[in-house]
Amino acid sequence: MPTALVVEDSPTMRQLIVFALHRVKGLSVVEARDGVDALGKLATTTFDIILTDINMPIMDGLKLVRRIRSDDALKHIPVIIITTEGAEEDRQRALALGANTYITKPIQAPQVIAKVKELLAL
Amino acid sequence: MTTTPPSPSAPPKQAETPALAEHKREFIETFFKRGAELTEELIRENERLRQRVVELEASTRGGSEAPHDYAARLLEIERENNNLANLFVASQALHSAVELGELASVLVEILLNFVGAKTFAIQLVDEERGILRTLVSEGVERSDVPQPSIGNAALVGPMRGEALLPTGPLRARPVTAAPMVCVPLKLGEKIVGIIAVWELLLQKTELADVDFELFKLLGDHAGSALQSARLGAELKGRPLALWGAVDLV
Repeated sequence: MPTALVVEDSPTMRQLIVFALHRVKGLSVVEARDGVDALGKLATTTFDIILTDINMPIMDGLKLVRRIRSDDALKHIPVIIITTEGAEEDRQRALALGANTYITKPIQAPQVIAKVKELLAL
Repeated sequence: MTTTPPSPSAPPKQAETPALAEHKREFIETFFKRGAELTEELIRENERLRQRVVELEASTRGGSEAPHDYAARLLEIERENNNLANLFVASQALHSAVELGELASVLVEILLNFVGAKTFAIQLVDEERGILRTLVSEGVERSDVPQPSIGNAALVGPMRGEALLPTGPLRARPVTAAPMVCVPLKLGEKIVGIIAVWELLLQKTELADVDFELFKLLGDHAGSALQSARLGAELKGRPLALWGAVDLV
């Protein structure tokens, strides 16, 4: 059963993303509130996909992507960025760091679901 | 701009007994719990209908009927499902916040992440001074948000309970100008504050259907959620006027 890690500091936004992901059959979801929390969970659990915000306290999403891509045990995991940052240079920076997909808020659940299914080949 | 110093004062209806306050609080909680249950039911029903459309689409595939009709219907249901999920999560978050600071954070999260507002403020009516005082802001320092008089020409409609929610493309405005979106926060018939938006996120050019519903939800419920949080503070021995919340956040 595939498992997704949702990294988002806003509890309401996290709930909305989890709500959407529950519609992907067979996908279980784990939540983290920032990059450091996410790395802690990545150290103990195997994830198939990561969805992360950029602007978070303690460790932001871009630093998290950098850490994931430089870790041999994690670098294969697809990463979806979900952010309020809509500028093209922000998108390019995230993709250059190794994010697979960049989605801007406000999110449309079908778009998130479609990207997750595509990256997990479901 | 100078920050207005705190001015603690008794609310207009200070004679309310703790028992009445508790009764009001219980009523509000029950009311919104039922609302959340109804929303959940609607989402389940929507999911069931979505599945049914998928089944019907599959059963007619290859036949003479037009599958694009089902595809269009499926898209419409997906959109409706998405909107309901937004409203459900926003409503649940709004009414599960019991502390004023927590409630202020929830309001910011909803406006930023769900609506896509970039520069905005939530302001409460200070009846004593006849001005709007800023509870919380995003995209601009709280102390830089103008605190207009209640009689300000741009506020005539909102102070009568009429939301300013334009359709079509919107252009950012400076916070010194009248907001592009202005939604009254109601507590029954009374206007206790406003949501003022001056700029949307770069990728957001106009308000979507769900935004109108979200603003209606906030306009109708944020006032009572604030009142509920105020009553909570009062029950803990910290009586304050509703607008006095600005000094606690």
